[in-house]
Amino acid sequence: MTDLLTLHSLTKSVREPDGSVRQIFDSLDFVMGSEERSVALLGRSGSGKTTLLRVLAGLDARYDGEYVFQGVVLPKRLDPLADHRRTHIGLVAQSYDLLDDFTVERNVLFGARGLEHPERRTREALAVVGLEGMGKKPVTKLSGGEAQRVAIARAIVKRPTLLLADEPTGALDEDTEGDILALFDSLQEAGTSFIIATHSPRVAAACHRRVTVKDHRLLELEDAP
Amino acid sequence: MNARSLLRGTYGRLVAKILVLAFLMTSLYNVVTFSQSTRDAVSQSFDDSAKVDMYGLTDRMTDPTMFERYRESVTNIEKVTRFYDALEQDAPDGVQLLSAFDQAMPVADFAGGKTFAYGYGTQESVQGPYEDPILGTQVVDVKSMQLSKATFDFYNLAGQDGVDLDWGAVDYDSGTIPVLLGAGYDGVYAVGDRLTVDYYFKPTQMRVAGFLPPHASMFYQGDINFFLDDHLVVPYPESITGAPESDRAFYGILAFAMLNADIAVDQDQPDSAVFTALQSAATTSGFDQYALLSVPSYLTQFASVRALVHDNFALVMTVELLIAAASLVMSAILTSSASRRRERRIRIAWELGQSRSDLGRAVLTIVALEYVGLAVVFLAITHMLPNHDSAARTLCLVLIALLGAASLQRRRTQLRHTVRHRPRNEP
Repeated sequence: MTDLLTLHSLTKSVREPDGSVRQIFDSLDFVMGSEERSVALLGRSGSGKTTLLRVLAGLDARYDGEYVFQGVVLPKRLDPLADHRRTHIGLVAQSYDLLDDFTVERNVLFGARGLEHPERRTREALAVVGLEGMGKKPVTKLSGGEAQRVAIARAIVKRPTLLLADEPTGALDEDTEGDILALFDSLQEAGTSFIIATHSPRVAAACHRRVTVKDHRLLELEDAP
Repeated sequence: MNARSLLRGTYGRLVAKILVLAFLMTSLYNVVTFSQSTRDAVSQSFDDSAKVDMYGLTDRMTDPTMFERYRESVTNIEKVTRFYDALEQDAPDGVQLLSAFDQAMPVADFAGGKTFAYGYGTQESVQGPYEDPILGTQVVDVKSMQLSKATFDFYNLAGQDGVDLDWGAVDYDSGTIPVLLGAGYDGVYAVGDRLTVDYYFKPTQMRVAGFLPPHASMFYQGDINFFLDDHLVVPYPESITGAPESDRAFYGILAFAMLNADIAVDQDQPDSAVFTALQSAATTSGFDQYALLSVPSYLTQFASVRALVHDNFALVMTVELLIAAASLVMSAILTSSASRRRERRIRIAWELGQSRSDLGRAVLTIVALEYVGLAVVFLAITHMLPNHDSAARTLCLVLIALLGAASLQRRRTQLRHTVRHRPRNEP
């Protein structure tokens, strides 16, 4: 069966403001099978977790190597990568990235643009994350957990194959973190795969697989940290 | 994401920015029109040739009965015409007769509006349309300026687009006189049109030879900028000596009309030059019923008005610079504030997978909305202003287009930056 995604010899460096060149990845390889439901991406701050998520999301095309998604080598051009992202990828950020002057419903609808039956899908996505009946509420009135649920609803409204989450519970308390993890579990059971960049041992433990960015590559971790 | 989503929450800033820039453009428009009219005024009325002492000349026939009786005599008329010719043609160097008179002209079947009517815009009543006994038709008394070639040249008057008055073709005996129309007549009459005029009780054809440029002006009866935009400019003949006997009445009135003049005396001439010239003309012609009006200090007026214009110009420019600076700062603040909000939306839309072309279209729509809106508001405001200057308006519209193009370029750069870079402190 075709893997969900494969990174071959991913190499990337960036130029720092002082002009020096910093290596982020060096011949990094990574495979995520189509049946795998969750991978925790660990590593120290600045190790390149977010950069790797941006490459996987198609937001960063400046790298050497090859990115294969469901058997298709992705081009390193931003416009086709945007198409790929719109079709296959959901993104959830630590800071929620909601539009402050939109309601809950409009924020989710924002992610449903171009889809068939966007209103129905929005209602369904809000139901999945447990926010039924809150569609008309301004997002500025939401708690952190609720805001993150809206961000998740917006990410899943298009029913993505892969959901990339960057520190999704970084700003939440323990109870709320538990609620979000439970939500992730239910989404995984429904068929969505996750790659979650996190510092949280609890989130890492909840994932089926854990990898860490170290020495510009990904290393498999056998046990939960 | 479409333009509406991008604009959401920033409509107030958009309108405020349009108003601020419209204010800036309007003030710029006013400065340009002001500086243009200042340049015109200086070039027409205040150039070096105007550095003269100016004296007013008129006849002393204040009593209508006396005037009527005097004109009945051919001898008297000849005295007047000889007096005029002596001053016009035989005056010593440095003394120049500038004959001009703003007598209204009754024009038959007049095609223009009431702004051309004599008395319009003054306390005098507008005459017409009324039945003219000479022409036997409806006429309107229109504003007119009759003047000599010396006057025309002295005030640097000229026809528009190189179409000038052919002074050699001014032949009163032919019954048709070539005339120039003020710029306000553009669209009312065309070159070649003929106007039937009751010219001092004589039916006369006036052929439109051309138009004066906008804001053409001259010094007249103490008015440093007597504008001719709404006037019918009628040239005097070079001489009226030897006028036909059959037109005695007409030439009698015309001769006295032509005596309404200023005498320009170069400053390097002695104070007595004007009196000497008048005395000489009186002796030659036998006409001594003239009066030298109070000696208006034309040069003083010239100098003070010029200083006033220049001082005001400096003041207006300073105010304009302050307005421009304040407007630009306000506009920059509004733009920056709205851009930050929109940039965040663009980034989120991009992360959700919206294409750059869609985002680019939304940005283009917003820029178009801003600057087309600005152009519309600017045109609406300037339409309501009393000063109309198509060149200044075009200049401002070009500037708006350039600002729009620059804004579009900047926002496209921002868009490129937004989709390529991760904002700091955000995942």
